[in-house]
Formats: sequence, structure tokens, C-alpha cells
Amino acid sequence: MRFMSLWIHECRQTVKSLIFYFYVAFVAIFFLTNMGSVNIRKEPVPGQESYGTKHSDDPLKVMSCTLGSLEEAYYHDHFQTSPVGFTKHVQLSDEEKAEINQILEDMTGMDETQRQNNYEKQVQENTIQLDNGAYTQVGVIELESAPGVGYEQFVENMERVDAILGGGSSYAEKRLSSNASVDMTYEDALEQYQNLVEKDRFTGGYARLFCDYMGIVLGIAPIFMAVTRGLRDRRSRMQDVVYIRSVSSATLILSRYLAMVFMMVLPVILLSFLPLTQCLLYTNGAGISADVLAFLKYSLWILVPEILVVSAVGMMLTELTQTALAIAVQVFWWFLSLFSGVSDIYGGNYGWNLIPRNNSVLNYQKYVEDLNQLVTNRIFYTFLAFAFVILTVLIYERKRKGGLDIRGKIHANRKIQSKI
Amino acid sequence: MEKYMQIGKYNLKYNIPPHFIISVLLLLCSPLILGLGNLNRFDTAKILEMYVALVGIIMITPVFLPEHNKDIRDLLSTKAFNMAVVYGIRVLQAVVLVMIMVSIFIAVLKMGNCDFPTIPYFFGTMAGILAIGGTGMVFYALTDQVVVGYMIPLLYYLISYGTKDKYLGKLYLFSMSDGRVSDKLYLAIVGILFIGLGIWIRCRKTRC
Repeated sequence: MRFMSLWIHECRQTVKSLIFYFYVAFVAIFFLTNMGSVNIRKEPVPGQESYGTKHSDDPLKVMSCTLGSLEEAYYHDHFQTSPVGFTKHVQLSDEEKAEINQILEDMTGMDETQRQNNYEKQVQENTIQLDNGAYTQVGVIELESAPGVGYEQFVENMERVDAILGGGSSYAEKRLSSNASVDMTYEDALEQYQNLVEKDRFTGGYARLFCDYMGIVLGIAPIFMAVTRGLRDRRSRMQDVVYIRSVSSATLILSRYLAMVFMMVLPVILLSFLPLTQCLLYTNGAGISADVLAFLKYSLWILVPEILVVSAVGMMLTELTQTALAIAVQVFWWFLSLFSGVSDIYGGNYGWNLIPRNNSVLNYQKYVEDLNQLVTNRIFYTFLAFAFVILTVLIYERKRKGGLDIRGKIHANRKIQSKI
Repeated sequence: MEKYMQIGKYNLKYNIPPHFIISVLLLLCSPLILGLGNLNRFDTAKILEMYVALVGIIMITPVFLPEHNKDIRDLLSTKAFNMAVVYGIRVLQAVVLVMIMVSIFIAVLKMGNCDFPTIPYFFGTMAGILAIGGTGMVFYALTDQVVVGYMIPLLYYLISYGTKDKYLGKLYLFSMSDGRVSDKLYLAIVGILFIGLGIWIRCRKTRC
């Protein structure tokens, strides 16, 4: 009973706070400028000029394109990785280069000179002259694997190359298929569309796209609410008054936390009605049976864990330091999560990234393939959030008893300000 | 003059260090996550605009923080002293420190054999820093909440990231990564204007 009344009180306080409206504006402006209206996908028709591209699932193609890319890097001694979405050039030692040369030799059955000749021949064939007279290379370099080299052996060797490069390269197992882009056929495009209509019931794909955009903004926006709430008592000099109240620290912190999370989820759900309405208007006219609850379901299980953990980090660090330090910490985490997810922007390979990407309504197959990863990821962050909340309760309890006074009473710059 | 020296001294001693330390830590972490060697001009611009420029929010936005407490502001407004000068000194010191940090970072990139035009990239990075720092100052001054001051520049950053120059036009933050250094002039002008506007709003509100 005490908990509920505190929870309602906190929700009311949130509605009255300026930061809440800035939070709503922050999330809404990002949504409207980045996603805005929904681009409804139509069924592909035969004879279209292009159906887009996809990562090849043919092992031979993946092997030849990857080996071609590795040979190109070896030929120019120009190895690069992108562990967090930013290009990183790696300078290898002579021993490491020799090891890569050996791997290429084992995988292709060609020695260094033979591979060089092959590479130079392909570059010549692939170089064209543009209208302005400049020359450019089209297509990708491919190097066939030696007879008898299996895909598993190839993956093992590429993992070794990735380890030599320090990780985050396109030779890591999960990124190998990205080396081999192929044009999609009509059948491929039709299958993707049918997945969207039948398995995703149309709205599923759009709900994931909504979560993709909102995931970016919710990786940072909740921290501002959490920090402001954490500093409010100190700013209004109510800290000591609240400390001596009879309510337990757990009830107090949990009611604040859950009220804050509830108030932050609310505008997200309301915003989801915009793309949902657009989807339903289309599906009703097109005779497609849509899942009306898709946006709600995806938002709750993909976005809520993110709000939970970001606000818990903010609450814990603010309670501990009584400063806005949590913003700097979260900006750093958000930056790493956002840019390291760029290589898997269209879904899949979710790993432990705070911001899982699904920037395509037609990514059902990739999403399903790595669904277990995403579920584990979201459960982990939910537990992590509650671990931070428990930590916050412990910190708050210590402070109530007079401990952990990091700033102290004298350390409030009063001496300095009086001199100025 | 002595009074101004004192203000600067106290600011450097008590107000700037936490923000400076966080900025330095941010830049020191960069080799762990970003490549700082053999980059072309586009990759270099990406690091300077998207990563290094974040120090603008950390260093410039919180210049009003020492008077965060309203009682202190009320007390200071009774003194025959121009607070705009105090804020000006603080901004100047923050900008000079940022310039030093950016210069060192650019020197490290140059030593790492990165290929980019040094002077334009230095001014381009500074323009972005002034723009986001100035935006933060305006919103901090308007709302008296430093958190809002941090929030709005990050929204600006996010809109630039997500929509490029679609809505922001010449005020797009990452134009150098697209090969347009000249657009940074607009950012620099807006940044300086916003810093001035932030100080003006703050002074108007506290009648200094």
C-alpha cells in the first residue's frame, strides 16, 4: 500500500517536472526526424530493374570473396578492422604477415607470386574508365579456394586472421557473409515479402524497425531523467528530510525507479501508434491480416530492458556521486554500442550490444536465426538493471545512516564562491 | 585586472578540473576503440567530428555550474560585479583548454600518418565543439538545469547522425566527413553566437 502511494506520488512528480517534457521532446523529435512516416513495402513484381542486394549464403562464394579481400589487404599491406564502426588500420609485424601469407597459401593452394599475378590480372580486368577520364575499380576481387578446403577449415583460418588483426575485422565468423554481396532475384525478394506478410503479419517487421530507431534514442535519453531525479532532493534540500522518514530505502528507491521507468515507457508506446495506424490503414485495404499488438509486444520486450538498465545506471551513479557523472558514463557506453552495431544494422548478430539493430522491415529471417541471442541479451540487461537498483538501495541505506558522504558539507564550493 | 586574474585562477583550480579530467579520459580512451593511424581524410574527419567534438559538451556547457544553487545566484546579483565578464572568462578558459586538447589529438593523428589538411580540420573540429557547447549553454541558461544543457546538444548530435543535412542544412555537424569543410564556418558563427546568447540569457535571468 505504501509502495503504491509512493509510486503514484512519483508519477505525479514526474508529470510536473520540466525534464519529463524535455525527455518526451527528445524521443519524439528523434522519432519524427529519423523514422517519421512509414514507407509501406509493396509486393515485388517480375521484371523489376533491381531487387536490391543480399549477403550470399553460398559457402563457395563467401570463401572466394573473403580470400580475395584478404589477398588485396596482403598485397597492399593495408589491413583494417572496425571494432566500433570506426576504421582502424592495423600494422602487422613480419611474423604476422608471414602467418597470413601461409594461411592464404593453405586456403588457395597458390604461392605468393601466383596470387599476386592473379590479383593484378583481376584488377586490370575490373578497372574501367569513367566519363570524366578517371579510372575506377568495379566489382570485388575473388580468389578461389583450393580443392579439398572445407568451409569449416576456412572459417577456422579466418578466425585466426581476425585474431591476428586484433578482432573486429570482416574475417570474423559472424561477418564472413558480408564479404560476399550478391544481387537478389525476384524469388528472393518475393520470399522476403511473404515472410513480412505471413510470418511477421506485416506489423512485426515495422515494429522491429520502430524498435531499431527508438533503441538508439533510448540508449541515452533515460539517463537524463534518472540523473535529474537523483539530484532533485539535493537541489531542493529535501535530502535530510527524506532520509529520516520511516519508509524503507528499498520501497523508496524501487517506487521512484519503477515510476520513472513507467513514465518513460508511456510516450514510447504512444509514439508507436503513429506507425501502427499507418500499417493498419494499408493492411485493411490490402486484405492482409496484421498483428495489432506487434508494436506493443516488441516495444515491451526489446525497448523496456534498455530503459530499465540505462535508468538504473543513472540512478546508481547519481546516488553514489550526487553529480551528473552518470551522463558521461552513459554517453560513452551509448557511443560504443551505437557504432559497434553499425556492421549488423539490418539485424542478426545481436551479441551483448545494448542497442540491437533491426533497420529493415524485411529482416525476418536474420531476426529468427539469432532470436536466442536477442532474448538472452534482453534478459541479461533486465537482471543487470535490477542488480544496479539493489546497489542503489544499499548506497541509499548507507547514506541514510551517515555514510558515503562523498561531497560532504564543506565541499560545496562555498568558500570559493564567497571570494568571487 | 587582478580581480579577473583571480576569477580565472579559481575557475582553473576548482571548476574546470572534473570536466577537464573527463575530457582527457575520453580522449585517452580513443586508441582503445578507434584507429589513430594511416587514416584517410574522411575517416579522420569522422573521428574528429563524432568523437573528439564531444568534449565541447563536457567543457563548455557547464560554465554556469558554480552558480547552480539559486541562493548563490541571488547573492551574486546583489554585488556590483558584472557576471557576464566572469562567464566570459570561464568560456575563454574552457575554449583554450579544448584547443590544446584538439591540437594534441591532431598531432597524434599526424604522427600516426593520417592524411588530412591540418589547419582546416583543426578549425572544423573547433567549430563543431563551439556549436554543441554553445547549444548546451543556451539551454542550460534557459532552464537552469545542467542536465538539459547536456541533453539538447546530444539531440543535435543524434539528428545529425540520423538525418545528415536533411533538416540541419549548413548546420549539419558532420559535414567534414562528407568532404565539406567550408560548411564549418556556419557552425563556428552559430557556436559563438550561442555562447553569447547563453551568457546574455543567464545575465537577464539573474539581473547581473
